[in-house]
Amino acid sequence: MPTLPFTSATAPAAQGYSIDWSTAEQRVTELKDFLMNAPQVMDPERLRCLLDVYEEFAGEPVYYIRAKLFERVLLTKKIFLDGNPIVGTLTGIRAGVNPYPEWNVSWIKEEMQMAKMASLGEMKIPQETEELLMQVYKKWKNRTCIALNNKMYKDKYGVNPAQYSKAGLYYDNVSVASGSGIADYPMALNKGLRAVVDDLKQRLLDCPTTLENKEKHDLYRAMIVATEAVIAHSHRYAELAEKTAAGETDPKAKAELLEIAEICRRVPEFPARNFREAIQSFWFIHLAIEVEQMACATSPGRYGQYMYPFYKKDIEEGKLTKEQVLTLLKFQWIKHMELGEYQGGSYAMTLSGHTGQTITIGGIDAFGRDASTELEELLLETQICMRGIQPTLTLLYHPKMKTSYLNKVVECIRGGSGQPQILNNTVVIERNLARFAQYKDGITLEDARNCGNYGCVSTGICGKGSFITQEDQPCLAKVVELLLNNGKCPVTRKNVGIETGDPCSFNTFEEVYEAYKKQLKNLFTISRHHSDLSQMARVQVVPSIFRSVMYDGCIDKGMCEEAGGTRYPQVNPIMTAGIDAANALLAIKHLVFDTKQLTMAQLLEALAANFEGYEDIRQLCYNAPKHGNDYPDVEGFVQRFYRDIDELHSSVGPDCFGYRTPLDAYSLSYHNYFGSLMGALPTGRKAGVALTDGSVSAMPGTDHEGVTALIKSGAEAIDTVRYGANHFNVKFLPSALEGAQGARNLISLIKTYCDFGGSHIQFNCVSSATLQEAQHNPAEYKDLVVRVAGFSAYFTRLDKGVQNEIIKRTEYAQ
Amino acid sequence: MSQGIVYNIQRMSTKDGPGIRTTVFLKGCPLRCLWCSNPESQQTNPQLLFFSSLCTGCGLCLSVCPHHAVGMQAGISTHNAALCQHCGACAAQCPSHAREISGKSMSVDEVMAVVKKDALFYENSGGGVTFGGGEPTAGGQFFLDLVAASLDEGFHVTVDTCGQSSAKIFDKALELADVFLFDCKHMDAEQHAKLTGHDNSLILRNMQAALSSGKEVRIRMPLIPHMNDDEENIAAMAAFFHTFDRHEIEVMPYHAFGLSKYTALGKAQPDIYSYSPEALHAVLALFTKHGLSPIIV
Repeated sequence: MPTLPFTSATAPAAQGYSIDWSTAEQRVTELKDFLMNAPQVMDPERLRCLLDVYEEFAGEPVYYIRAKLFERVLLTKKIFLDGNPIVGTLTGIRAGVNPYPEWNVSWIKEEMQMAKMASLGEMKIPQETEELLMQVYKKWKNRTCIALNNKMYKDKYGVNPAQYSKAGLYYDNVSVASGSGIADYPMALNKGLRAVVDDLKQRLLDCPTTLENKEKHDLYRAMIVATEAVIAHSHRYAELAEKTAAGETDPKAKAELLEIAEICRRVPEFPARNFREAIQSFWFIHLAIEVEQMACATSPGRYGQYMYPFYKKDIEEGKLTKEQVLTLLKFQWIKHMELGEYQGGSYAMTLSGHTGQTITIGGIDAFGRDASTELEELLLETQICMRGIQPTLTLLYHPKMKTSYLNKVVECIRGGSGQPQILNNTVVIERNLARFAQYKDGITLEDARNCGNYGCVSTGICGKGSFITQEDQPCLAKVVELLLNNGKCPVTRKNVGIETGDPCSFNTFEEVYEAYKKQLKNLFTISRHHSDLSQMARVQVVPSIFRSVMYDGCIDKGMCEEAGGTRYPQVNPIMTAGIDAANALLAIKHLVFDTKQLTMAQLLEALAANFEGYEDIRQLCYNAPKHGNDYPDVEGFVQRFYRDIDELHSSVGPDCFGYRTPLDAYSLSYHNYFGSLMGALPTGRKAGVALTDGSVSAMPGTDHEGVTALIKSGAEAIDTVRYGANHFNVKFLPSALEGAQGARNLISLIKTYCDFGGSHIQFNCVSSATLQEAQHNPAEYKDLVVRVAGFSAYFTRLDKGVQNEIIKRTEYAQ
Repeated sequence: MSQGIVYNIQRMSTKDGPGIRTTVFLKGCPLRCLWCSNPESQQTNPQLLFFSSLCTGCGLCLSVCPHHAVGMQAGISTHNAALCQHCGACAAQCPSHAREISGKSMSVDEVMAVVKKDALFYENSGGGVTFGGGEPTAGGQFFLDLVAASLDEGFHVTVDTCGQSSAKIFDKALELADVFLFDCKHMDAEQHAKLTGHDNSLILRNMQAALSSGKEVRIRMPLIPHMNDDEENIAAMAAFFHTFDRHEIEVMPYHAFGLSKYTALGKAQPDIYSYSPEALHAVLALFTKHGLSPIIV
């Protein structure tokens, strides 16, 4: 790891930049307070642009219209300065949110009067925005991605697919705008956008004007418009800063403004020359991608590595101190937190407002060496200071990491934010090699190593790859419900599954299991058919233009990102609630077939009644063997289950790019959303209650054998190389991680999890609020162990007074 | 193969020796310390614990108890200690885990099957297996077989002992295990007997053997208000340990975490209060005054 022989004690306060450092930390605090307290507001401006541009440019190719819309937003939105030396906001309002109705407008009609939650809490829709939304609704209701997707499905398969998403089989993936991974930020920092525009102009000129080249031609024209717009957008800020400086009397503030102006004249049009310019250039690029399509999973990738040369230069030249870098990073964190999104109530529920701006740290470089940097340690420090919800950090863990670096990671985890989450670098690289080996041009080892975290827990190649969310996130727990109701959804009373027979007629568990697989294959087939068409709808209605400029491969191929223009495009079929399904099947096996404590009829009766009046049966179900305890039979079944799902999924055929696609087993907050649409389950879970989070986490309260058993079970549940992701949350009482020994233990847990082949793990320190909840609901928290030397006990079995004492200690530790 | 009574095997144990460990708690202890935080560990035989606060009043226990030791009162079940034979029939049915049998007869292989599960965690963290109790050495041959079986697997072995153990078993353990967590409760024989039921002659003999053995020994003192925290006792301890050139002592201030287990066993809770931070600070100063460095664990 490159480090610098530098401490703040030996270097004088650097005066390389005209930022008024004396007020900077105070400004950070005020900006954060504003964000945490002010409601987010839905800005009308993008809606106006949308209505105008589609009218003015009717008849132009969709690429061109999309570029013009992007340009109109960037050049007409109100801009302002708010004391943050890094400039550029999403909308014309502080903490403003843009609507993206081109994907879906149904929420406008159905949910307008409901309370709305965005990333920072409540969101307000002003009268003006509401009126524009109604206009847009009328114009767009038959033209949105999801409307087109469903129409195409009906035309092709003769069935209205809306019944499937309504029943909670899956979630319509083109009903929302979406991020797509990691753009080529270093290209913009090091080459500048002017060079990109020049290249695009040359390509347009060189492109033979044959009909075959029509798409390419249209795309280049549009890309030039979009890239010029991003440059012009930064110039608007330069002018604003100059104008504001003219009226500023405080010399320090004036100098800072003039410097902002100078920087905005320079970047992102031209290469950044130092850290200050690089941070602003980064932000303009990131913001522009988000303006085009503000949604989850526009991830900055290996920020601490591509920004490192700028950092190193400024530190060595004495232009910045580490403390000043930390302050600048805090300002950047504020910018990430400002970005909000709202796309309807169900989306808020599935994502909890998460914007997925994930920064990847650690990993290895092209030559296999530890790639972590000193700047990344400052990112961890920033995260500790800011306790922010965005950006999030992901560590690509590998065995060559320095202990001091890992200790910083542990310090951050212990801070209670659960960050960074950990990804197993070895698994991610193997996965890349396996996934892209089947592609026409294969993959280089260097690219496979240049991996990063896309959004939540998915992975791909930095700058050269992107993902599309596909397959509509099928809910595996719902399939159990269909199986137990012979294909009928008990909630909507619609026959959305296939008939697999009266469950009471099954004589062995294997018959149950075969029926489950039939139901699941049916669901995979529907969701594949539906989502392949959804991708056609995406390309037709909302192709990304600037995003395509920023992902390597699209310009070369002359193909937008959605159509597979990047060098390594990938499909991410997210699949949720696997553990609920496996646990439910295990409970049926145990109670109905192995121990015969219940008949299938008794179980069905209790489920139909949502266990009301059947608490004894619910307890039997809840106490039946569950994943997460390292019991060989149970985990053997869970592993078989996930293997079979993967096989079934592959048997449905290739994805829309023509390849076998690995399943992404993770939950986002879909466990919450799908849970609300489901009846009772044989796991002992009641109707409407959230399903299990992650894809290999234990159902809450059902892991009794301690963290090591849980970690081993979680790591081995899924073949993480064959799959595109796993997702694992582990809770800890902070006392378990105290001191230097606690840090070593945590690192050992991470290492062992990776040794067992796990891909993703996130540690959450149990908060005092959770403990209070455990006090009130002991049955749901039976697994919380209190660790004291020579003593053994579970939290819920302690006297209330003692519990209170531990709650107080936990508060203290946090 | 030897069998013994185990009352808990706690994986991911982080406070009983170095690294990530599995602690095997053996049931049975020759001492009866007034402050014992694991009162269910004192008797060797399995015992029923009844946590009435977790009882939902479902009545399953009432229907299965063969000894009529279960009743119902005010919507929850009751436990008649005089009639209970600790057979565990109720615990096996109890859906809310309000009833639990502490103690299970296990073979060495059965214990090792659990211990072996976390081998990779031990290797990666420098951890291993800890034998605690109760008093693990009271397990006799079962205990020694477990230690030997762990060493055969290449595991690091820690023994958490009160020292009240026959010289024969103790010296054998000393030969085999890697680390000892050795309790020191009181230096005065008479006081020791009053607090724990036995004088300290055997304990001091074993302590001397341990400290002279060259093995890693962590001296641990359960610090109990008004029982062993007077200056005279601390000074005596300091004098004793200084003869072995030992200055560090791990101190475990009294905690009330075990109280609910007394109630669950149908026993009266000990009348001891936890230290206030000021009182603890004052006591720790006495250690320092007499040349001992106390480390709170």
